[in-house]
Amino acid sequence: MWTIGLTHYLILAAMLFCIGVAVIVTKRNAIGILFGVELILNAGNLNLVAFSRYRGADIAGQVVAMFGIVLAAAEAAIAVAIVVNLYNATATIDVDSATTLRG
Amino acid sequence: MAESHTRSAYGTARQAGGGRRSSRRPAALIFFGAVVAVVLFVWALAAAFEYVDGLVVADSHRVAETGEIVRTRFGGPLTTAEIVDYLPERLRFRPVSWLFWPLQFSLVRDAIAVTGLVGFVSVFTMYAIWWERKVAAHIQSRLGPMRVGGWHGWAQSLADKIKLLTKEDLVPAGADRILYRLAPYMAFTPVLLAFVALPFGTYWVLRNLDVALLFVLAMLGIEVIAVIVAGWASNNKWSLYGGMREASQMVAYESPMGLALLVPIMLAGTLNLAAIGDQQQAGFHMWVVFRNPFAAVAFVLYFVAALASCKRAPFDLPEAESELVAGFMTEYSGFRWGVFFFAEYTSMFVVSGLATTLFLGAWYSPLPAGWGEALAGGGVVARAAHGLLFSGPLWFIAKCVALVYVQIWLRWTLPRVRIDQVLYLFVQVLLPLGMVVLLGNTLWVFLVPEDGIVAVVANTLLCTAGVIVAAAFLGVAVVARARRYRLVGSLAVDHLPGA
Amino acid sequence: MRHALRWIVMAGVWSALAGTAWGAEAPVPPAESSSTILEAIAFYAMAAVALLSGLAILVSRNLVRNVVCLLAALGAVAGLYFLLAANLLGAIQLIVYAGGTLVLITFGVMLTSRPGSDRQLVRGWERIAGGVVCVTLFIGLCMVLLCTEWATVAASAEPTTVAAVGRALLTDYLVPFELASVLLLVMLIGAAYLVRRDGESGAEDDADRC
Repeated sequence: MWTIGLTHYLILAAMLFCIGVAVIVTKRNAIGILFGVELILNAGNLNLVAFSRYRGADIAGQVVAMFGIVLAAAEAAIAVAIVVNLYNATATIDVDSATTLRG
Repeated sequence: MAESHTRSAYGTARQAGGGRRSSRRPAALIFFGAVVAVVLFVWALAAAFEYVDGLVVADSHRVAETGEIVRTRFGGPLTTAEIVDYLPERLRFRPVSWLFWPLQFSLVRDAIAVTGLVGFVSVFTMYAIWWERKVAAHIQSRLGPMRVGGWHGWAQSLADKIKLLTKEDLVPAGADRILYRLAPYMAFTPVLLAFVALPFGTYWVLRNLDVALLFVLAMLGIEVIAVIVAGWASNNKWSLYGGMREASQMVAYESPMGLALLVPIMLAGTLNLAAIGDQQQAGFHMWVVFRNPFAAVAFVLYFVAALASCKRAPFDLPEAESELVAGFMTEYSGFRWGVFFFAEYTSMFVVSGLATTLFLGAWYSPLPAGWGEALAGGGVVARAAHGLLFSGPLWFIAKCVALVYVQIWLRWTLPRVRIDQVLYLFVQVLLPLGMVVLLGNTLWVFLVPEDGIVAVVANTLLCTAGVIVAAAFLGVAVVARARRYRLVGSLAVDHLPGA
Repeated sequence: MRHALRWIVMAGVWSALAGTAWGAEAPVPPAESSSTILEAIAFYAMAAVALLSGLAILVSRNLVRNVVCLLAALGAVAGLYFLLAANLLGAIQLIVYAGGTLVLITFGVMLTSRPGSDRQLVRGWERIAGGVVCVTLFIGLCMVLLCTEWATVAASAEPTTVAAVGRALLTDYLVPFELASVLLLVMLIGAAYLVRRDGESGAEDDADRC
């Protein structure tokens, strides 16, 4: 309980991951879904850093987590651009209404 | 902006003393006495810390020599009896050891340090606001606050604070109540947290982080979100415009700021602010700003971006009072409004602190360090003189206050620019300039030998330019002081109450 | 009399200031010995903040509140990075995520939100199904986590230095590093292209809107 080990971080990351998944599946709003994606990415990064620490300060985990942060930034920029475009086209960002391409 | 409070302060001044002359002297004495008391307290605290550190180090040495159990910190503290053993003959009293005992715990030391920091920040912001009003007034040939407290209105900010505390705290209808109440603290907390990593001296830092520079920058960046949230939560279109302006302005100024800061990082080879500061200790020719021409340009670049990051004129678009009422602060009143003000002035100090640490020789005096070697080994008086002249938090605070003064000065002399001009300036002028500076600095570091003729000439020229600027600054100040009857007029100099 | 008093006061101020400056030459404090209890308290506090703000994002339908919650969650994760001795990563998380990405998302929220018009959540039975899926996922993950024997090595308390990470980035991870910069460039161009409106010069229009 009072000695924090790898498992604590892994369980916390699993919780964050599941909350992120829940946010993605329950929101209809495109930006809301983006929040869920950010939570999931954070959970993954937390896992990487925790492994990096508890595997004898191996630096690989931190470096990969850093790439994860860069990817998240890129992803958010593109996602926001798409959402703004969607809003300009349909005046809504409800993902269920973006059905123009459905065959 | 703050001028509206003067009226309320008049009543306080009237009640405070019957005769003007008699009420003035005690107030000035109280003011200086308070300053002396605070400084003495800080000094006593520092001495106590030094002493306990010595004890802990001595204890760990004894552990290393004799193989006894480690008794310091949480592994088991020094007992009061042991502290008494360490004390010099004249001080071997129990109560003295009780005084020292708690200081060996890092938690207690942190608590004291945090209290000191919060106190410093409060006092600094209070006097920065008072000073801003005085500077503004003098630039406009007025006197500014003169009544409260007796000596040039030194207690004006205190009176304003008390007034703000007792003012009604409105939440507009239709506002997002939670976010509206939360936003001021979201603005203030990160700025305060920046002080965790901002060193006032080589050892005068709460946490000597390896990534201190990034940490401080991150804290300044988070403040932006608070402004956006405040603008949104107020349910007022002026506020929302202010928030959006802050967001777009932030996207614009962050990149030139980051590029400019890469220059001192590249020259120092570390992100640790304490280490960067320590590299500039050998006198003012070692300051990063004088190192090469690109560093000098980077300093100007950083300072311009820092003005925008503090929402200071000419980039105070988020609160532009002639266009947006008060921007994101329009709906705020009372204490929360005051908290926003605290955040603004504190972040002015933080960006000035970064500029000082990275470019202007941190906490070291401009005098060449070689001059002080004779003093350093002397007696108590010589050591005190050495400390005063050559290093210490006082130099840091003095330099920061000077830069804060420059920010105030710019605010009251420059007109505000339009938002599209701000974006154009930062994205299309300063960002390419920052890239050129970064590239130039890289080439300089690679191609110019450190002690070669080119580096020395550049250093000498830049130092001369710096000295000329400083001398011109002082000269203008002295001339203006000497010719104040012609410049301001005898009415303001002699006849107004309190002048 | 008054002048004498003023000189005495000034002398007091200056001597006190000199004393403070002298006190600046304090020795280096001895290295901190890590404390398990404090670490545990910090961990649980940050974990609570991260989870609670995650749950708040899940329940709340107000997008700007979600932004603030996400800020809290990101801050808490950054705190966990500091706790994991990954100082550089914590600072980067704060500066890139909380300072940069979040402002971008806030932009998105403010450019696209029309209060009260959009439904934020999916239909009732879909929500329940999603919840069941997530709880199942969590239970599965926990079973895997707890049943695995993790080969942990005793961790050092020393924080990873910036220099070490930088060296790793420019030696072992050089190709991903360069690819990341290419990716960022592609992202920059792509985002600018996506939000471009046909037949309008963007700058003047943006100036009007602010």
